[in-house]
Amino acid sequence: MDILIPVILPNKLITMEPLKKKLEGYTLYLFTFVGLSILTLLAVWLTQVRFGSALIVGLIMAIAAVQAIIVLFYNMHLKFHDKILTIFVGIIFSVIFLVILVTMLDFVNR
Amino acid sequence: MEHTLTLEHRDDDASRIGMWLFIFTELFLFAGLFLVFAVYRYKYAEGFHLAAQELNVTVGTINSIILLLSGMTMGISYVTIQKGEKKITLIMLTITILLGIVFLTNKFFEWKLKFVHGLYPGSGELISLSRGDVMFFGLYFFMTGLHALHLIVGLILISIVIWRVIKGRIHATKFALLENSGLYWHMIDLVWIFLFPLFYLIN
Repeated sequence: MDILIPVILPNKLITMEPLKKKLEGYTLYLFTFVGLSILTLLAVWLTQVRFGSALIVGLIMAIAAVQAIIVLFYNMHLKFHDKILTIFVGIIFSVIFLVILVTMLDFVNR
Repeated sequence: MEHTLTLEHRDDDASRIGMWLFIFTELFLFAGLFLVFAVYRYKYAEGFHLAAQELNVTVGTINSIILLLSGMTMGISYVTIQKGEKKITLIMLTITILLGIVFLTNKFFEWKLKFVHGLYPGSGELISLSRGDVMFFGLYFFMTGLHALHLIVGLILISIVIWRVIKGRIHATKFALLENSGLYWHMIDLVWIFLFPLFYLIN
């Protein structure tokens, strides 16, 4: 809907807020892709190594967690937006982790 | 003389936060399913271990790389639209769609192979196997199916973005829809990052 507004209003309304730190062209996404791919291949390679089963599971899930952090901070731009958004995301993931942890602890100790 | 200017009422920050709130609900949905997976994996460890060996790690790895690559092209389109490079933006978005279709095609053939082997929920062959096998393939089809459904929605969103870029309704100073579609696409990446090791690697 078009609304007539006096010109004295700031231009903030009609332009997108620039990111706090300017994204450096395409290289950010290229490096992110390379890093995520290497971590994926590392996780696949770990399944071929004969460590203890629990250790392998722990390592593979740790790699997945690192990949998730990379996607959240760089691909989804958490690093470049307000800190409050990072705090929200941190709370959400903490709640998810706690729910899974508490449920599993309850289930295992029955 | 009174000056007036026709302005479009927009709040891109609110739009972005709204998208994040939606993503939170999606994450909770998948988190619930991951919880179900964790509980049943603990309960039927042996069955899950054997059933997971039926999945092809190579196909899963290739699909992971394809999805990560699509995340890169989506990200590049976000940079190019801000630089006013309309043509490159359209190319990157089109490549993202093509990669998404390749991912779905691989998934289709993977599913088809399981159907050929009778490893689908409700099949006589699967019911004759252990409870762990039944649970594993039930969760496999439901979770990867739900993920694929999200991917299809993502493809539709990106198609709309492409149309709007062509029409000039998304440009260097107005790209909230592209940004939010990108967030949605990366959320699909994020879910796959956990689905892949859980189903394909931990066996």
